Amino acid sequence: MNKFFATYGVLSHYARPHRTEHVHIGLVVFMPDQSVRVHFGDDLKKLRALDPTTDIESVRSWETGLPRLLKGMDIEKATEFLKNFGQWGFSGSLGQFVFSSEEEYLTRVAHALRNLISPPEKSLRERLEVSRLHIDMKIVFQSKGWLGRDIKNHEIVERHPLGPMTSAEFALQNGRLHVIETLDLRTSNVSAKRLDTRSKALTLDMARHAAKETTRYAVLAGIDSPLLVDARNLLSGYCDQILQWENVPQMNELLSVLGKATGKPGLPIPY
Amino acid sequence: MQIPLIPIQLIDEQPTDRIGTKDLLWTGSDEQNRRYALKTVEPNNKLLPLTEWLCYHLCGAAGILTPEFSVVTRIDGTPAFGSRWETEARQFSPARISDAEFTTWIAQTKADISGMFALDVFMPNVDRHFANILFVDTGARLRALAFDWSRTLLFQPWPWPADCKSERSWNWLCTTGLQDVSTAENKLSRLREMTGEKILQILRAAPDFWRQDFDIDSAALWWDANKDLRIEQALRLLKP
Repeated sequence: MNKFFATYGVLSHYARPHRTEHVHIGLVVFMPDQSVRVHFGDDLKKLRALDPTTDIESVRSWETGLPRLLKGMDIEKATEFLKNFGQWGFSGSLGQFVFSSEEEYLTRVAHALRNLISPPEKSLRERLEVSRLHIDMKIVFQSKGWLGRDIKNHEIVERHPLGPMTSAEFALQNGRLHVIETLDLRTSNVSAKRLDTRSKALTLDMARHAAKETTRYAVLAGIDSPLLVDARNLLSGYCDQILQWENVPQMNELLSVLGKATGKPGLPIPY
Repeated sequence: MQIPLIPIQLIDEQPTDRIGTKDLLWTGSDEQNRRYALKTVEPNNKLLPLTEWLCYHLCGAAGILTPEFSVVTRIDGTPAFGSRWETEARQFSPARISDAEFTTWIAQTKADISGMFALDVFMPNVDRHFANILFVDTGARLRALAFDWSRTLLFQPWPWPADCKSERSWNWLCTTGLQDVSTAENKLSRLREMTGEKILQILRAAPDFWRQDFDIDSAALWWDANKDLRIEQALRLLKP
């Protein structure tokens, strides 16, 4: 497999000329084929804090603008150019990484952005608090071979319509209609999660009318969430079973029920 | 390849609870309170530390993630293989982790895991199961670290027996679509770049005590003569 070397430096924003306060905002990567790629950090809040007049969208537009501007320049010339580019500065010494595919390139960039650009994370706990329960459930259903597009073929389908403006996150028809809604409480955004909980309750209520026989499941993640008790109390009025993502017997039981309903129980994890 | 010259002196050793661990008998700590899982020369497995030493180095050469490791000097003065204890790592246990949650760990780390199976099938290691993998949150993403080559053979006999834990685990990955054969292929191609001379260098750097019953020159000769064929055979075995 071929190895490629990319050279990169850090772009910084200086709020006022001749002052040292600055914030790192992105990377300029010089590719082995002489092209240039620009990547900004996902979170440019620090830039807004340092310089409230900055328009984040126009900053991001340079992701395509800068490579055009730097086209044809060698690394030395481009580096000199970027060192005094309006309110932006560029690192004096350049880094380098090795990659062998586009995927690996993007992973290296993600690492560099995280190490050099992103504000430091406060704790492991906060880093884990990402709302991704729907994606996790989808991965599980995919790996079991249950996910599909044909609900009449005992497949689990995503976004199955239940009524006006309402769809189930996951649904499976096996005589009765199984509807699965997820609620990820592993987040610090409490008010958004309250809204989310109410919306799930409505969806589960709609599901009751969507078929003659239904089984409605709510899967909740975030065992330490202060909202958990209230969310469970609300959802319990609208679904048949509430399952906790962190509860091993409950989740294994759900997979067992769905395995039977799909007719594909799947291999147990060897241990 | 960097091979540490000075062993780390342990100042504390604890026997492990034998229940649930077949091959790890001791853990130890050094002066900086770093904890190690120790592999020692055992009457029934004299090559245990040497096998770990070689496999960890091959992982380093192929880009397969492992915990840090070192030669450590036990309190009685004998050298042991020490694999750093990853305090933040998560491990699979069916009692604590649901099938659903574990599947998401595997999905996030399928390249790492397929990479470690490449070495397992090459050696072969008959005991790669899902509790023999450490999951570490590096911030950017979840990574999987390989450890424990206690049930690994030094090249012969080959292949791994049908229905051994490694084969069952790999088959499960293939059935669930959570295998990444191209990564395994990439790791094997990096092993191909290793020469017998490098294998000899790694084995020579191991303490004499570990290799009293092993002919390291023959191992290096085997490597040069057979690695290419073994890689082809290994790939055939991995492809679903």
